[in-house]
Amino acid sequence: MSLIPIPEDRRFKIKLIGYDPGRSRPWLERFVYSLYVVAFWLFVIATYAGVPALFDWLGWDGGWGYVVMRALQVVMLFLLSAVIALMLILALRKYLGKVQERYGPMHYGPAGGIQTVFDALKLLGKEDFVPAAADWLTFRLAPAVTFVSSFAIFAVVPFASGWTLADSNVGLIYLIAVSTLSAYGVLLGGASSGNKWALIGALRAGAQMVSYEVPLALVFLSVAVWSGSMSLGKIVDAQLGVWNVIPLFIPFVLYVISSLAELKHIPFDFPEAESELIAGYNVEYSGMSFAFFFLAEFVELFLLPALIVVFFFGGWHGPLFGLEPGTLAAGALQSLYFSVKTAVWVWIFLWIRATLPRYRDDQLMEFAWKAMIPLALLGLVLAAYMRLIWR
Amino acid sequence: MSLLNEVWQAVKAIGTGMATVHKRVYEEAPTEFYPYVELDLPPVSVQSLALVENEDGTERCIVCLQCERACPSQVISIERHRNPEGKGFLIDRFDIDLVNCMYCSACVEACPVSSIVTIQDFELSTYDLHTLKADIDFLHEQARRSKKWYSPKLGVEIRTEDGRIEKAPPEMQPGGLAELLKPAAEEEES
Amino acid sequence: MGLLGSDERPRDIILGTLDDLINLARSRSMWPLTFGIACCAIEMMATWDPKVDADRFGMFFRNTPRQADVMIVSGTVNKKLAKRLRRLYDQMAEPKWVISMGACANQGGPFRHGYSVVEGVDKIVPVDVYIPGCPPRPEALLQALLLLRDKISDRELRYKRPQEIATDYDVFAEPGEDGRIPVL
Repeated sequence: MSLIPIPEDRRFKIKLIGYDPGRSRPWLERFVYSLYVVAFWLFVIATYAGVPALFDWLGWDGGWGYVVMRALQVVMLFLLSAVIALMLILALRKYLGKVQERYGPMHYGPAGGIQTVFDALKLLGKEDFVPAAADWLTFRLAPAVTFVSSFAIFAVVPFASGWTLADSNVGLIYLIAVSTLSAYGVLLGGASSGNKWALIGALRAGAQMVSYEVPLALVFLSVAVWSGSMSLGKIVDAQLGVWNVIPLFIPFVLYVISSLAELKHIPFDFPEAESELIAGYNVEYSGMSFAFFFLAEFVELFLLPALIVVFFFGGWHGPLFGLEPGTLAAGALQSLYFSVKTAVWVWIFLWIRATLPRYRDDQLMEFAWKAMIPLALLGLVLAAYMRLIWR
Repeated sequence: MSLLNEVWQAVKAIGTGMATVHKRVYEEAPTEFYPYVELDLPPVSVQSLALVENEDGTERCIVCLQCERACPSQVISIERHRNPEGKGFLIDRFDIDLVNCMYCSACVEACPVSSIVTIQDFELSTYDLHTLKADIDFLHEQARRSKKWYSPKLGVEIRTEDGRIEKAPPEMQPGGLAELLKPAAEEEES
Repeated sequence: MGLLGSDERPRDIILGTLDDLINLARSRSMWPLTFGIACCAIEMMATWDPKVDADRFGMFFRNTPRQADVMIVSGTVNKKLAKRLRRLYDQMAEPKWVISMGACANQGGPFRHGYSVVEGVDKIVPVDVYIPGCPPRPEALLQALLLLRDKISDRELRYKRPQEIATDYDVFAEPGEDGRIPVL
């Protein structure tokens, strides 16, 4: 009688996989996310202590062996940055969820733990599209430039005493050079897309990042003047007694504000203001190109708080419980102190992101040029004066 | 000093905002965990339509075409013929196009015998649109599967476990407990 | 062997497993496009609110079509909007899916006799999952998203029911010289 077949059971079938996910498990969440932190810590130890020890054991610690060892460390840091990005994206989504009184990703993997792995795999399999109006070479290069300029900051960041790729004595100048480069990636990406939103986003990004580089450089200068060195390792060493945040309080506040602008985070997310410019400079990017912009953003979200810790919060310093500095155990403990301090600052950045609304464009520039640069100069003068008096 | 005061006001405002945001972290989320936990919708929630049969399997519908006339989006189409053995009509065809239906329940209000009713089964998403062109078997199946349904004339009816159809207890009726409690409250006042 | 013509693909070991992995990832991270049209869009927004929270399943809105995977057509599509909708669909990067939400998007709903309304969004873009309702509950949209998840990751559903590409473009202007619809 019925011409149209009635489906057997149209209802959605629930497939329970081992456990009932119908409620949240705060302790499972804490356990899974602390596993991420442990993985990060082990990665750091393997990079800075494991690889040199391996090459030492193989007897390849001279000539080309040294080059290969450094290259292997860079590869390990690349993997570490991928781990950091996966971890921080998940942390951001869970934290924003908590703040908005909901649960973030929680059904895929234990407590949503492998959600970002799925995201990464999906972006890997997605079409990487170049618009007809885009300039092919620049469009392709821009994500790489952005990512490399963020990733290169890793070279000078000390995770523990002696645990750094290059403890250069011009580390601060290198930092300024490299972090300014990331403005190029955003500018090129936006301008080469052949899209109005992307162009406006890129122009805003260019103006904002160049403006906020100036107070950032002045803050670097105050830190260098106070510590008497441009090497990041020596800056940390100089904070053995008292952390820089106490004498250099004005530069510290300015550094937090301008690193928020450097990150393109709320309240300074003009280059990708969703309500105004659809996605800003990366509006035409899809697939892995977009993933590299994303990766760069979240690697910076780790690195700029890490630099706050290096400059103002004593880097790796903490009670060593009688361990001999320079040994593996002391290095592991120091890198743990460093990671915990950085995690606190990452959390504060996420907290700011969850709280504040966006500025207006002209207010942003006015704030940079009329308030922050004079204050940064004042901070520099004060730092030099205090240096003369007390050291 | 007014500048310093402004700065202090700004810092205080940001601090208050951030403290307010941080308090949210400790509050419990009102999430329902939908696919894992069954939803209990109120009986007047119009999610789909069904055609109720009597307990003995005969048709409750008297084919008066009131619902077809009442339908504002003209999705109900009925064909009937005169019953040769008695009075009234018999159904030839009873189709509701659930795709275009806007679930206003005008047909339910128009039905004199509460044959066409609203049910709370919203899980009708499909890969194939043809499964939503409901004929009479489909509508009977919808009624058979649901435990309770609603019509304005008879209120909420439930299907008991042994297959009988009963009027639901007052606390299940729309506004049930409130209606029950209202006279008592008025009496107390007076 | 006629493998190319058949919908059923052979289950080879290496590529089959990789296929399954990628499709698993795709089904577990579907990012919808922020594209609300009419009253169904209110329910679409409510699907991401704390009570329903589709973010539990790893879905959040992307504003640009290049980075979105799923287009949720939530409302009446009239002939003027049809061109823009098709253009947005074309701008989305492969692979992409469409969910038709509500009576208007399915077949025009109560407005289907109107002169300006497209009778069903599947005349413009290929639709994977249809949701009846006017408007559907947020949970109904979540159920549709989960059905789409199963369609992407479930091998049987994927190959037995291939996407039908819509060719019925006569709801709006004639195709241009290159056979494509002129886009304003």
